[in-house]
Amino acid sequence: MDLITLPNGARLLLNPVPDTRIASLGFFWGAGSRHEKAAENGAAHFLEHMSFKGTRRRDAACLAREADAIGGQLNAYTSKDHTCYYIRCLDQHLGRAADLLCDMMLCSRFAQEDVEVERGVILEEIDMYEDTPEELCAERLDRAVYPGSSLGRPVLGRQSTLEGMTGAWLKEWQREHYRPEVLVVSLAGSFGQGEVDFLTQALSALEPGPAPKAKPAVYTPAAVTRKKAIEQNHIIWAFPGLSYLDERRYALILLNSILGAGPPPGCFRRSGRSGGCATTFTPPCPTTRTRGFGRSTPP
Amino acid sequence: MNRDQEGQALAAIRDTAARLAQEGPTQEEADRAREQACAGAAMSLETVQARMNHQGSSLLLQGRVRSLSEILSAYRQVTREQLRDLAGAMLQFDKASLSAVGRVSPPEFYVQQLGLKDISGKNRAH
Repeated sequence: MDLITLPNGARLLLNPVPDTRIASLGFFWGAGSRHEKAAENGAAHFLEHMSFKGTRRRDAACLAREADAIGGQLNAYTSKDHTCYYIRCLDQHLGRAADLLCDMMLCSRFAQEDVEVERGVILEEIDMYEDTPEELCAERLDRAVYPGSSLGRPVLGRQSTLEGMTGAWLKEWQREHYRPEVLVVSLAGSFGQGEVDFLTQALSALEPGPAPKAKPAVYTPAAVTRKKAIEQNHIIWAFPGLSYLDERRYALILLNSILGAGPPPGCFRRSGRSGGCATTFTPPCPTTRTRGFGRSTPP
Repeated sequence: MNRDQEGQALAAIRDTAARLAQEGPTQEEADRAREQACAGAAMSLETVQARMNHQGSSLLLQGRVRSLSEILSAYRQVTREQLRDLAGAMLQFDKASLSAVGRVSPPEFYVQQLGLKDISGKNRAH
């Protein structure tokens, strides 16, 4: 594996994998909902959506058509800690795929009419989460144990915060947060020097500068319940956890397995099988850079 | 979980967590967990997409990329005593929290069932 660190701070990781014809390319930005102020909640996720709505060279249909034309799988996700955009395809099409993804990352259009459409899509997504009890349960827990912190706020944001976001505002949020010092571009599989040179040149164009840092979050014990007319109750029992920088995280993953993530041990055997009720147990795992918490989630 | 069996399930979860916090895992449990984690780590890095994702997110969030050999070695070095100490340090009921959604009881019910510390009104919502 090779790491190239560019003068502006952007990092390019190369992992050639022999005997494959697949290449996978991802942009990992250290900008998620943790990096939002309260009034900005949902910006990182909104930005992710807008990246698929067109660039200076391609409209949204063109982006989708070009990805389809090479059999590429183009997608993205936003988390509390980071946002990732990726594409994978046959190696012979990697040049086109890299050009497409770089265009999305560096030259998004942020047209106001697209913002209005996408805001509606995200509001639908929020409603969908409201209808997904396990997600609702987790979101309420986050809010309760990290009160007033960005870590306690939902990745999708809220209607009240999303309503104020315009194309120009999102573009500025991107400029402030998508800095090369918090960018890792990861390329794995089958690729050549030409694609590496293209990426190096494209990333070098990024304007250097400090990216906003997330504030530390303080865990506060809490108990919250929400009445909802569904057949099964969803319960999360949480403990203060470890940062995923903590060396004990490997032990924690083993503890996770012992408590019930794996087959028959611990709680699953005792509460699930012998108790005769359907229960799954998802115990502690390192969940965030600063500090996560464990959850037991019986659906 | 079914509401009628909620108390039973919560009691089993509480007892298992309390047992782990006090006694730690058995050697058999520790060995099985270690082998499952090692196999899971190796299997999770089988595809090109998984490797790209692993290396990108690891470098961004942890500042380095561990090879599969390093990951397996890290799991192999975890002792039963370390698991016991970690369980004792983490599974502290007085620091635990709870969220419940459904045809739920008031928070006090769950606080009592799970043996949680009595949480002040500010952080208790129904």
